[in-house]
Amino acid sequence: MNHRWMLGVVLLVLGCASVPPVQGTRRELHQSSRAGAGFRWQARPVARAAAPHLEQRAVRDAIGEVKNSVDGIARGLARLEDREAGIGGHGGVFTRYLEHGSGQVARLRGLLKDATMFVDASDAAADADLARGLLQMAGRRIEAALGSAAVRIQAGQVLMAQGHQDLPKGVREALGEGPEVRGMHETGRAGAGMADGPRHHVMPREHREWFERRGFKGAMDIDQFCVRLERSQHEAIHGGGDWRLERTWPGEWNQMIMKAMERGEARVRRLLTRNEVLAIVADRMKYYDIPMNFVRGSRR
Amino acid sequence: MTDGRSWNGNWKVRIHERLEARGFKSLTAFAEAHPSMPFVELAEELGKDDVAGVQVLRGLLAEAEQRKQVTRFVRDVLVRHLAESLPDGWPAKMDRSNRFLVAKAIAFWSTDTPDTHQERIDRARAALRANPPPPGWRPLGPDDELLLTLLPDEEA
Repeated sequence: MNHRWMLGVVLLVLGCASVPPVQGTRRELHQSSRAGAGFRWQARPVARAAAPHLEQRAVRDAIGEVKNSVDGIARGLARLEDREAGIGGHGGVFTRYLEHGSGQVARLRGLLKDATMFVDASDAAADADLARGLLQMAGRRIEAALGSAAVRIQAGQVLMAQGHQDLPKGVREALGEGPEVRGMHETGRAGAGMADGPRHHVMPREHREWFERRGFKGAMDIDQFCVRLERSQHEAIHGGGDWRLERTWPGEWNQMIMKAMERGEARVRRLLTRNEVLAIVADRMKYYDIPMNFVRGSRR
Repeated sequence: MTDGRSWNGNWKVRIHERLEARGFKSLTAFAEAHPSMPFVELAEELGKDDVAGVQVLRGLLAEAEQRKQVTRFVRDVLVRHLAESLPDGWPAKMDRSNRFLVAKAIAFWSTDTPDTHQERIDRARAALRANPPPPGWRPLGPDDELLLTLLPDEEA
């Protein structure tokens, strides 16, 4: 199947792709101009407790497709390595690129593994919005992997064409950490609906270890679960939107979330699982009307 | 809902305008007209995209404080959280998943209620654990008999 086409479908399904607003009339002008690109989940009627199985299936298929593509690149690299060994007289001009290429393939495989993990988490989510939020996170990894894969193929051609000359700057950047970082930023923006607002952890950073003990590690660490909020929204939410107090009380969201977690554990008399923690977070985000649109935030 | 618009502009004024348009004099009256409806749904009734559940809860608390009916409000909060987590009532089979749903409702209940009532809520939580309600229990409002036993009005 055509990878590009498949990815297009997946990204559309996930609301990452740039599509014109379907029902922009209900939105205020400044909102629709900023949120125009994608993220139509919220506009849909919320099917309670109905996970988007079709979307999950499509994303799993896309992961499979990209995995095949990466395997192809790996085989191509192996052939190039053989050739490089055969023409070793050139002083190993290509060697560093080939090594770099192998590293890239490993990174691509890592991205796909992470994508699979997010789809698994999405499968387990009872809340439809959360399931879709997790699928979006998977989609971004696939997009990043596919972006890098395309660049690899292109770079290979340029590499062959230019022989021992230095690679053009654009390709060097692309071979580096450019593509997936760019991919992340672009989809992050398109999907955010919150323009450029700063990123905020929904699971408080000062409790990182608490969340680590409940499975938020590696590709699923709490830095993956950030949201962009405008300053006014951030203050309002942290202030809890207190009916009377105009002044905000920073940290209320964090305290509220930790309180809910601790009370929940006190009742079940065991550690909450990662999926249960996510279910609590998802419920609270709906309750505070925070878009379930996760972007990666900084560790500190 | 959940597109973050609830925090734009003056949401308190917005809520009051919506109440007025629907012919309600207070949030309390509006909530009583929709007994055992979860907060997120109450908020959607007032504004599909621009009212948050927590805003409704805060408004109800403010009114309850004025009316000196906070205990009743606290019971109502549990009713609505139970309705959200356990729409079919108290589970007959306490498996892992149902145990979590109960825990979530009770956790949100004690998270969303004022500090002044935490001790009483803690006692009620312990009582609920020691003497679980019958399967299918689904309180329809703050005057539910079992709830009144758990958390009677101070005046009473």
